[in-house]
Amino acid sequence: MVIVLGTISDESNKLNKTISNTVNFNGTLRQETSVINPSVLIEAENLSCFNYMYIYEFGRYYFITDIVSVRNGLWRITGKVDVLMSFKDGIETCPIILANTEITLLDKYMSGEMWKARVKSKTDIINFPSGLNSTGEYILITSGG
Amino acid sequence: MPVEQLTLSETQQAIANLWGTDWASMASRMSEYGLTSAEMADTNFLREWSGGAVEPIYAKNGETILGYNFRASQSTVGTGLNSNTAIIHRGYVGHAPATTIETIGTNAGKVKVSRLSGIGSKVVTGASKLAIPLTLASIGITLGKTIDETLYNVNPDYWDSIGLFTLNPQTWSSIAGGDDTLGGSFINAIFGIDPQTGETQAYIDSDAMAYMSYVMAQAGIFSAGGENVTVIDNPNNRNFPVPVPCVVNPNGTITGLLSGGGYTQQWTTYIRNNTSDVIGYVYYDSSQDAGNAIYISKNPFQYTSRPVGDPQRYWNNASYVLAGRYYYANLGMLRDCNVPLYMYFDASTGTDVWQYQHEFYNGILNGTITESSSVDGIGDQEGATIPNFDGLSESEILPYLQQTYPDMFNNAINYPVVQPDGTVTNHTYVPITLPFTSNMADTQPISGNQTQANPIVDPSTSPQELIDLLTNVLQQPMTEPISDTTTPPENPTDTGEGSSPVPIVPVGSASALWKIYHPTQAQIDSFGGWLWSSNFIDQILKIFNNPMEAVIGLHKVYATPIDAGIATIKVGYLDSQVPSAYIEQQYIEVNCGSVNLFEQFGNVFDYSPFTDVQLYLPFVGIVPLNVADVMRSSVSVIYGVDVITGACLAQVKVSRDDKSSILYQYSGNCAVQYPISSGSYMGIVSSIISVAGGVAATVASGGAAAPLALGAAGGLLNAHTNVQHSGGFSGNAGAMGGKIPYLIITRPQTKVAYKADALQGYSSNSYTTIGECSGYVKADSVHVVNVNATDEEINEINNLILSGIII
Repeated sequence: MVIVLGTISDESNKLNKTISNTVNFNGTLRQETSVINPSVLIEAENLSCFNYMYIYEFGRYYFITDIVSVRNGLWRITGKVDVLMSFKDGIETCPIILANTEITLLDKYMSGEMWKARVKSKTDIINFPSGLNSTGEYILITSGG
Repeated sequence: MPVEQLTLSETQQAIANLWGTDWASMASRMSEYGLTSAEMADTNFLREWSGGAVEPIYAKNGETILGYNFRASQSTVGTGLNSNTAIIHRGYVGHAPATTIETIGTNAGKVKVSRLSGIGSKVVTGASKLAIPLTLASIGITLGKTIDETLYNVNPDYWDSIGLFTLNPQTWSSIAGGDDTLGGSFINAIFGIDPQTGETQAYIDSDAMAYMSYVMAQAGIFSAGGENVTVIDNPNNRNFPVPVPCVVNPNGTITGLLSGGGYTQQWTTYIRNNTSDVIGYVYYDSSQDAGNAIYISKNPFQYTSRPVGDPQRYWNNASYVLAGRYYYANLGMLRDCNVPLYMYFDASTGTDVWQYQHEFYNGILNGTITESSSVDGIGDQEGATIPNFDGLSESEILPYLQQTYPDMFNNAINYPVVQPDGTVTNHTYVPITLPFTSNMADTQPISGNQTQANPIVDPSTSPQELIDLLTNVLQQPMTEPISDTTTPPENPTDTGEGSSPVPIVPVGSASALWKIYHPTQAQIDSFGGWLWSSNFIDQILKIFNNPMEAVIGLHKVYATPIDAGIATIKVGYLDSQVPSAYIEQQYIEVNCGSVNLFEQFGNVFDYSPFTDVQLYLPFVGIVPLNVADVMRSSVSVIYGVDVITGACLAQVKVSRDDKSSILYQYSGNCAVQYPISSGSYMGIVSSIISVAGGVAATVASGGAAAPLALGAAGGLLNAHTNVQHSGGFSGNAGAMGGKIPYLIITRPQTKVAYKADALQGYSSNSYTTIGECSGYVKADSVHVVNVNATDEEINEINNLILSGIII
């Protein structure tokens, strides 16, 4: 089986991650293991610099959750499936009701978590250009006239 | 006046004045966005930061600031700005920020700073300078006139000759800047730009429009034409016995044209004015027994003709262009009416010949001619509202314009400007139609196809000359995209339909039973002296047991009544001989003008429960307004006042997106009653006690709970508490309050975390697919389909999308 070890620096919840420092290893699956949380033995000098892997036979990307030195030159690597990266093509077609987003389809007129108001407020006054008579006008009403 | 450097506080105040106080608070918080203390101490840092754009525009008097120009050259926008709000655009600036910054953009090395909203979704620019000939032509077109090249044929410097600088130098020096030359002086203007369509509307100060209209009126531009003319000769010398007096009256009627009688041959009589210019002629051909009366003018004119003896028939017509220089019309045909006029002996035939009088078949004797202007090259736009400034003084022009062009003032933008002494003057900027020219320095602008009815310059339909002009004025190309096309419109396009019915003020009064006088203080004193003279008492006692029953009431009303005339004050049938103005119109209307309420944040903070809006109404009190009703709108207050009782009705009209309705109406009483007898005094006192009791009851019930009551969205921490600002007051108590309405706007102080949009995102509530999104995405619901994964993995995908992922 082919195992590709590499390094990522993206957030774990990022859909499409950038993998660098990749190294291919060939091996044989000698014992049972989970597809979702696999544990594999790899012969190598040092594997502590890797945090991500791809197992070709499983067709999945994995976060490396643990690296154990079994003996000199033999490592046990435990992984957890990265469902986002593994199924990103299918996920991109998934329909959603979008709650929050950074760039597209934003609506600044809906209340959301990012809007914060301080305790203090401020008050502005806007005067109208004119108003009622400021001094008043006498009105005298008599009968007849 | 050279441009002066503003101090920091003046700059902050100016920015706060134009964009709201959040700009000022931002200025004080610039350190949060990367400015050092040294930069903060620089009094010009805001000038640098905003592109060096803050500069006051002084009037000629050197004391008045007409506005602030916020445009200047700067290559970059400060890097320390809150980047979740500043959106850089290619051509212009567009969108409102999350917290404080309205808009910032760059274009070809220039920085534009402006603000979104206003009336509708316009961007209102800072002050710009309009050249004088361009402004005068704009005013003429806006008031319904046409201007063509003829105006400049005789006098190429026509606008320099109308006395603009000298008619009232004091007024001129307060409304205009620069020197007293056409090229060196200017009028302050602002521009409203639709960021989506680029449609642009120019506005100028209403005081400038009033004064310049006054000057133009004095120059005769708005005066109807009319020349005294006389038929002085008959070039063909065909039996035309004597010169026939013929007068074109100032009102346009022509009299006396055919009093000379008829003739047997062809003849032509020219009508000349006092300078011998031919302005018309009458032609007759006896072989056809018909003729024509042609009127020629140097100005376009309208005329009405009516057949003799058939007053039910008439024609309204416009003149035709003759040789590109004159205008003419055939005003009617002649015919023999078979009325014997005189007989003469024809020696060639040896017979007597009867001569018949001729008259117009549809002639000008029953018609009128009204020239559109006494100035060559000035005409009337078809269907336009033309002002009549005859007899108006300079101070009466602005009220007349407000009354004659209500739409113009309803669509005005009120623009407060901070002055050097810290006071704020309110300017009303009215929309104008720009003339047909591409050159700001053009001293001979013409109207072209620009009209009163269509003042907006649409870049997609307007001629290139106007687009070039606005490019020149605004220093930006109109045809470039002026909004961020990646961002959908933020303001809702559907803002409601319909308008409220127009209230009709009652007319008429039972004036036969009483008389309403509008006396001055001195006249009141004189009347009192006469009232209590023994002579009066002796006479009035014959009629009434109580003489004061003849005086129905005396009060002060805080509105200016409309006087119908002057008369002596009469009580019953007795005449006091004291003169006083009297009133016949019981109900009057007081228009307090309008103010514009801008969105300051461009987001939810502009609305309830974050922002509160209250309105102080004289003689009514402070009343709450629904923010959703009035935000991004123009709010007008109009009082209807009954001068007899002082009852008043304050109507609050809200205009937005070409719709307007009266949304609030409050009643009160704006009269202060004066006791004229012990009985009336007790009546006044008891009514005041009654009002006070009502206020106390309000405070005791709702009033006690109101100060601590949370708003409807009480669960929000930032919801305002509702505090009652006043009880209801009117009459005597209201007289001690302010007489000018004002808006009280309470806004939150906001705080949005830097990069909050990237980490939390804006609310969206829309249907899409994940692939259509970018950046931070959080869903309210998702259908995980087309994914070949285990059930556990699908559940995890579902949970991740609901909690937020990054595309």
